[in-house]
Amino acid sequence: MLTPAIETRSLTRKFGDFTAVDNLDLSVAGGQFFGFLGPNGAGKSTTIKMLTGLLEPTSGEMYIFGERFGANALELKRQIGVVPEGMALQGRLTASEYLNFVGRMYGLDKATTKMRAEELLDFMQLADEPKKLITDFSHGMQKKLALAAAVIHGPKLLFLDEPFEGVDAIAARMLKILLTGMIQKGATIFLTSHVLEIVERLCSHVAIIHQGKLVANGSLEELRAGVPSAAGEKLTLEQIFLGIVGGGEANTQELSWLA
Amino acid sequence: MAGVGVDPTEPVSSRLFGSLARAQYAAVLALRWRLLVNSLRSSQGAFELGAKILSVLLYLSIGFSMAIGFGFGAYGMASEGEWKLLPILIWGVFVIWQVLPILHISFKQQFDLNILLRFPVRFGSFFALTLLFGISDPSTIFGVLSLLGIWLGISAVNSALALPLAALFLLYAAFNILLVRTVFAWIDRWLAQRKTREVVSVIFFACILSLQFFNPVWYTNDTNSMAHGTHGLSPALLHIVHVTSQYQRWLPPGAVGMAVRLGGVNGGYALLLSQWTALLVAYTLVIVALLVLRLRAEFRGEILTDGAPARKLQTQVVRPLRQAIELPEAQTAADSARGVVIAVISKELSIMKRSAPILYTIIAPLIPCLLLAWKFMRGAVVAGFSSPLVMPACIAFTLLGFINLISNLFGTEGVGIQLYFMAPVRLRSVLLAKNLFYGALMMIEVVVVGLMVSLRMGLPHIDSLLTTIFWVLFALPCYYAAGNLLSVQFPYKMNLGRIGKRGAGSQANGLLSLLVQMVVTGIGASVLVPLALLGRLWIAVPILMLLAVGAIVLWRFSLSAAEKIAQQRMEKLTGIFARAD
Ligand SMILES: Nc1ncnc2c1ncn2[C@@H]1O[C@H](COP(=O)(O)OP(=O)(O)OP(=O)(O)O)[C@@H](O)[C@H]1O
Ligand SMILES: [Mg+2]
Repeated sequence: MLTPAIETRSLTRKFGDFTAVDNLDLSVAGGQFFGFLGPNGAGKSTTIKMLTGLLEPTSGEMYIFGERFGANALELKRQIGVVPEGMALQGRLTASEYLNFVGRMYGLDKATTKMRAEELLDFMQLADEPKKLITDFSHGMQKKLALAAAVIHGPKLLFLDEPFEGVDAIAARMLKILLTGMIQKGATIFLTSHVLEIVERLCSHVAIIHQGKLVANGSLEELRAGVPSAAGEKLTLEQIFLGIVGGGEANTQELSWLA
Repeated sequence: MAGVGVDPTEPVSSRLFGSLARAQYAAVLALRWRLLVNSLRSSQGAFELGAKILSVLLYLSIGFSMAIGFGFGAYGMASEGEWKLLPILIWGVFVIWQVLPILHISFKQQFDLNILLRFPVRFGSFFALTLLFGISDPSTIFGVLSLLGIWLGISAVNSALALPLAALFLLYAAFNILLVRTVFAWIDRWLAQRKTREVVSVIFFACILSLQFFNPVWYTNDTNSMAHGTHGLSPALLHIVHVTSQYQRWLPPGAVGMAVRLGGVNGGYALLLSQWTALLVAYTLVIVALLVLRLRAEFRGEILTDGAPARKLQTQVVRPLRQAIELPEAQTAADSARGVVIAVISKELSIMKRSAPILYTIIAPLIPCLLLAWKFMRGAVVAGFSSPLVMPACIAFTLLGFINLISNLFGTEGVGIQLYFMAPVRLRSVLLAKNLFYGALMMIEVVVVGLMVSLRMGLPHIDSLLTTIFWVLFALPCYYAAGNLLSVQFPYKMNLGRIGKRGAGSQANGLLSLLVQMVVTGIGASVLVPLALLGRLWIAVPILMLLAVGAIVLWRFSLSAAEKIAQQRMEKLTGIFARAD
């Protein structure tokens, strides 16, 4: 069997008494487009932070490409690209300055960094305002830039925390092209998103986390099989998600004082 | 409707103390209080509070000693009827109040009152709250206490003056508080544009350099010809008082001096009715108007930015990437460390270029050095401070400007700090790069100051030169070692855009770095001063050399120590910069 790109064993993270991620056992095969879903506060970002070295696990182990991952696993970090929850941009740089900075930090040489930065800015349609500071970018522009920064060094494994949040339809299509292109070249992508249609279209495998615990894991077909449905009906990911996480009965209580 | 609070039928923008406004003041104060209480949940927060209390106590004690000094000065002048000397004290208060914040700006982020803008808050309330927060600046504490001292001193001599003088000084205090705010608000406005930033820096440097060249010509025969002064005041000071008195009275501190003098001579309320008081009122009104102008813009939602214009938007077509983006060959550790250092340095340079506060911090300490060098031009000796020490003293002072920056090295990153934990880099390379960057800047500034001082006073003696060099080699690594540790232990968000937005940040960081400065300066001074007094300055050279070696070893050690601490405190570090506040 091939070594999985990501493997966690009893990965746990507590904040004080609160357990944000609870004994997570996850395995993502190389080359998979993996969707990591869950309601707000389920522990998705916490998991990504641990898997990318931004947060120390309370207990459990993480393996990336079969090697144990930790703060000092520099060679592994070199192969990983991340769009973290907060995007980690530098507000007082221009987009091109930032990409050049990130490229160098990941060990690209100067010329390659410059070339790739230009090309990525062009691709992301961010090249029109070369002097604008990142702080003055719109939210969607920042998201696109964060994505460009995550892929500039050509990572084999990409972690994306809500990459589609706030980007327009054109950019979303661009992202999809970029990401599927990377998958075709053998990269592995681990993504969280609340836009279930996109996940359904892109991801080959999906896991659902709820209150820190893994509650479903497998290909879309496997998940469908686990949720009861009317005969012959093909459930959408949204229906599966609501079926598993149990948000079926909407909150009917009204806020009486709202106009 | 019952229980809703503010009467919804009352017009929103009614009065400064209408029911809505009062509810808002209470809400803001409650918010501040909650923030304070919540900050105490973490041990760091408790430590912060302790440090804050300690620094306020420190400021108060400094302020009280100033007050005593000013008080006795005022008492002496008043009891001998030397009213014409009083402007010296009033100007002194003015300088402390205005110059201190200019010399030592902080990067600590203020509790940002712009959060109020989305609520139905009237401008008057916004204005009042803006003034209220930040009233605990050290300069305000010093200024108020010094004025209090003067007031006590004069009132003790002439009790009839007490009441009118109190009114006058209240006005003067208000004037000073408003002036500081106004100056910073406008500096921010100007420096927000790249063009002005560049123009201002160029003009500034040109001024400094030309001052250096022209001063000797102007002051070739001044102090010697002057009569020896009274009251032990230096003749130079008296001369300045004499020469400038017809001009300075038209400026606010001078006007206050004139008013007090009138009161002292003519008694009682003549002071308040004088044209000089009217002049001060006029000045205050002008300042208020200027501040209102600025705060109004802010109130309307102005955001200061370079505002680079967008180029014409191209049609949005998705172009495929021309080349495959692939993982590069692995580098050797040394190569990648070199790459990291270069990347971080060029990034810091870009940030510095655009950050008015950073540029300002670096430039501001040059001013007093100039003045000091000027004062010691003729080898004057004041209180055991002989002129061979002017060079080291000037340079030590120059370096102080950097302390804020090197004690909070990640403050320039913001959320970007996360990258250092995601990317395949050793944190010590990042720290090294930042140390090198600021080290190089400091060296440039040291050379500039050295040249300026030499131009003023002639080339320093070889003893003086060598002591200075080794002093720098000792002090710098100490500051950096401490700075590296403080940067990971007590980091805080910096405001890199605005000088005027100051306020509560990391008190612990500030206090501890102050402590380090005092210790380092103390060690240096305890070596230098006795030897200089004995005229054996050369003995200091080997001693400082040894200290320098020790300091450099300490600094080397601090890099890996800071890296270790940063890794342990990663969540705290990223949290401080990343989280909403
Ligand atoms: N630094 C922290 N301190 C305390 N609790 C935290 C911290 N970070 C996250 N948590 C808690 O851990 C839980 C999981 O948070 P996480 O950010 O992983 O959720 P998420 O699945 O990404 O949610 P969302 O979809 O809203 O982004 C939440 O209850 C959150 O409050
Ligand atoms: Mg999240």
